[in-house]
Amino acid sequence: MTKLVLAPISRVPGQVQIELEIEGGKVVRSKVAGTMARGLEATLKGHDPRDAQLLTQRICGICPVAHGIAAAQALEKAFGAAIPENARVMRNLLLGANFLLTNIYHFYQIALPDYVHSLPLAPFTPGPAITPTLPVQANAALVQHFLLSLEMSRTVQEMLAVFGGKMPHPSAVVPGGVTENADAQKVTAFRSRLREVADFIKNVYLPDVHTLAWYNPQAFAYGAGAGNLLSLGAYPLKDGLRGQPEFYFKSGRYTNGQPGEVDPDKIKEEFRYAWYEGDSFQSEKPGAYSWVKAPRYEGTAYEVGALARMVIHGHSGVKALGDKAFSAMGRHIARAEESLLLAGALDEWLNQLEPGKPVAVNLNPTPLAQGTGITEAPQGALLHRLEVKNAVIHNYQVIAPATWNASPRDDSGKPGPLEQALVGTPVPDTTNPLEVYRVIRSFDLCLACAAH
Amino acid sequence: MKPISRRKFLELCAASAATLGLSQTLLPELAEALNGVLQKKPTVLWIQGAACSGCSMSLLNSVHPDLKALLTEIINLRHHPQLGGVSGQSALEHLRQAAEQARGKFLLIVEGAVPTAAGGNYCTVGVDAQGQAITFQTLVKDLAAKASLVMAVGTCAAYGGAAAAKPNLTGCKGLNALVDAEKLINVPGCPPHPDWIVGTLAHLVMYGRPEVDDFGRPKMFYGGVVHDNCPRRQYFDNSTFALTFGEPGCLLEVGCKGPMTFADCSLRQWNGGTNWCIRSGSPCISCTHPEFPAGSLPLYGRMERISFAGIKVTADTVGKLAGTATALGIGAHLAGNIIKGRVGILKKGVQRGGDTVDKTGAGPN
Amino acid sequence: MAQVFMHPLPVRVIHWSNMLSISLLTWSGAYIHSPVSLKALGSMDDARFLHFVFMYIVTWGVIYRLLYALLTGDHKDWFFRPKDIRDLPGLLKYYLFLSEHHPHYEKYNPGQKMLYTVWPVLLIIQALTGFILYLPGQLGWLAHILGGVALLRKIHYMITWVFVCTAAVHIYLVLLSGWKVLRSMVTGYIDEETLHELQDE
Ligand code: SF4
Ligand code: SF4
Repeated sequence: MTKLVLAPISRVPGQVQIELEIEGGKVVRSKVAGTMARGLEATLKGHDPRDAQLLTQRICGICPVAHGIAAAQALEKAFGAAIPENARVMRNLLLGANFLLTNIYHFYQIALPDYVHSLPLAPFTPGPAITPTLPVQANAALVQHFLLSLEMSRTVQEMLAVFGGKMPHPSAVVPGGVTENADAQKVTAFRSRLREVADFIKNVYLPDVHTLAWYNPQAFAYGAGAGNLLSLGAYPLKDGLRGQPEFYFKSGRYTNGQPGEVDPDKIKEEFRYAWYEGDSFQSEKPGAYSWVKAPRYEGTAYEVGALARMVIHGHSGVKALGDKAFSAMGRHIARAEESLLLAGALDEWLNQLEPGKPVAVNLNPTPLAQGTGITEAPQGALLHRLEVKNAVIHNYQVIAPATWNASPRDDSGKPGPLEQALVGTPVPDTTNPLEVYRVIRSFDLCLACAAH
Repeated sequence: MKPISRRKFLELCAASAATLGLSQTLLPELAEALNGVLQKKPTVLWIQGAACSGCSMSLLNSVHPDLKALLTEIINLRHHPQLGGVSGQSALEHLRQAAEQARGKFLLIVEGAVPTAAGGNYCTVGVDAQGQAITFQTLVKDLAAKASLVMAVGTCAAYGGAAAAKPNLTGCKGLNALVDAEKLINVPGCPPHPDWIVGTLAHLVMYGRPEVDDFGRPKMFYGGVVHDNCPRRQYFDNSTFALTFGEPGCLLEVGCKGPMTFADCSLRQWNGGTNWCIRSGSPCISCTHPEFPAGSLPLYGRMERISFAGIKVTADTVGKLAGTATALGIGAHLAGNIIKGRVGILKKGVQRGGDTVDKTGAGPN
Repeated sequence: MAQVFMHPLPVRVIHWSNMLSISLLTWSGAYIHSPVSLKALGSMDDARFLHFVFMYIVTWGVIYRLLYALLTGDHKDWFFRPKDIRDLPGLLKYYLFLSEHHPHYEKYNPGQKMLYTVWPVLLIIQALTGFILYLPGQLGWLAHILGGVALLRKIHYMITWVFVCTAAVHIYLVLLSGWKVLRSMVTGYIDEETLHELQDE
């Protein structure tokens, strides 16, 4: 048996360390550790509840919109505010743009270098030692598209700024709605960029993923995990966060092949193997190995992210993959398909904006309140829980997507989704566990979010 | 040998309402300038600690030069954990080698704060050959000692920022507390504007250290106050205030901290001139401030609550209470005086106390 | 009736100048603090203009008053010293109606002395915090050392309330003593009889 410790792992936002036990050329046991914590939840305590929105965005500079929306929702639930229709639409547009940004960024900047030779330019080189499976021309095209994707990142961020104020860390999502008004000029500014990006997704990104998949069929054979999926739902379609909103991406679970419902209250964070005691840090805790807690739904670990969303959404292309969807490559396909779907939806939603109509209501904070914000971040299910006492934040809890995916073992000793997915991954060469990296990066991990 | 003078460079860097991105106009001249000056692109090493990756994402937004031009023409970015190459021990080895090869000559860029509590264990960046965790703190100290200059990108790296907000359980510190001021340049912002990062880099490459203010920020970007060039300034002066988001008017009453913020957002704008905080109707939260975020709270109000006998109350409440108490006190005293006959209708004769009169002058109030 | 000379001209001028400045600073300051709930002034522009003009005037007022005290030694009349603590209980008893006996004091009673000693100290703090807020570029470093702009703003604001409350007490006590006392701050003189009455009341 060989033991491997992998750290640092480049192209994964935040700090992650992975320990593997390898036997017979395969991973038999794995430990995924988040090695960075900031304790941001504690910094919220004692402050004006409305500050939560911008402060929790600072958890992640890649998916700040999702955190902003979750926090705003938690506040609106707590103080009983119904946001105007324009705000609902605009938030969907912002979140959608954030999804496109992250999905494109993830595929080209984070995942691709594990499959193709990247640019012969620092810092991209030296890159991972790979044996290219793609023909030279296809490889060259992908590298070109890698450069193009950098431009796309910028374009999508501009698109986000049109209604979000700026990006990263947009300013315009506020408790009670949004701050930016809708007008024809902004709609055009958003749409022109969206079309450009949609074109890229349709004609470059999605084909690229399929090309990559075509030449790397083996990447469908590992990284499956337990196949339990969870989505909290995102993109409310009808007005009203109060009633039972209908979501474009539905909430749901997929457990051992069986669909099921989600009740956010059943999500509990366990920490037997994390450096915590309740909410406080325990950096010396024996047996613990990660700053990430282990969220579980009725004791079960769920994988979250685009794959979960697409399976629960019932996306035909992803469904058609069958079990192959649960793999290192399957996740990339799910992400690309999702991007295409969203690009179309955004274009439609843009028409729902009503220039001149209000975009925000004033919140009437009460001294004692409680609220939960749920949405999907590009990386998966996101939950914010807020407790207000004495007119200030008394308690705040964030369960981010990577908290699920990169979670350590739970109280019963069951491993987290990535830990499960790594088991069985072939390691032909222990000095270059390329397949392992491909599995890790097939999850859109963000360790800054995971431990926050 | 320098095709453009420093003065010209600064002019080009200075934001004007018409600029889109640092160097709509700069790039050709910059490239030319670099041709003459740089035989070799300077080595830059970028490391990340207690960060959110926002600064790196912001860097992608640089328009002219864009990231590719930056990497091919201006700097030799040999290490960036999120853009770059190898993983595992070899990544640290590669970083170490790059630092050795360019010892005393490279620029170290730090993104994210440095956790110092619990021996730095709140952020470890890898393991050494013995399997011992290497803390980010050690890495920063190590590399900073070898670098010719250290650039803190983002408010967290510069001053601690969000990561170091109270109660700061992880003991996060900004580089201002860890690196000598002469060796440090701060490019704060949450995140910083890409022009601030790229512009400072370009200045460093071409002319050396730019002039900085008391907080180590380059004056060419952080010399002015957001409020002074704010497009909503007219509203401020005329006292037209937005009270609900989305309303026209100055954003002061919904918490704008523009008056205390040193940055050029009001002219430069964000994301290639698409928009920026205040233009989109959101208050400036003073993200470039050394005290961000604590100094900016409440973000949507003007003054934070005061802890008062265990509960949190607004400063206004305290003031009004004090005022009311005084008024009541005076009222009660006046009533007492009247009842006791010291003043008013019941006034009695004077009751003499002492028997000497001081002629040097006396008299109350 | 015999007149006693109480307040030399410079003292009177500075007194009224300070009174005017502090009133206007409080007024404009309150407006700047909350321009929406307080419609007391035309605009932010006017309020800030007023505030900045009188900020300079009151600063000079404090400097001149302290210089005057140093040169003439008149602070001996109004500066609160530890020995004044001894005299406090008697005064308090009188003010709280526990005694009808008003003890005899020199020019000012210990309560007044306390007020007149605290005011310049508070004014200096106001000037300091005020100028730091006024010159964030030049004095930003100082703000940082002293705990941050947000804290200084709070201090500046809360001290204003101290002024409002103590000035109210001051005015009340003057009016309580009668208009002749008020007049003495204009003319400088008070008649002997009133003076005796006041000192020993
Ligand atoms: S919006 Fe902010 S920066 Fe602009 S004028 Fe008002 S207070 Fe100043
Ligand atoms: S306007 Fe203020 S909050 Fe917005 S980016 Fe500029 S300095 Fe930061």
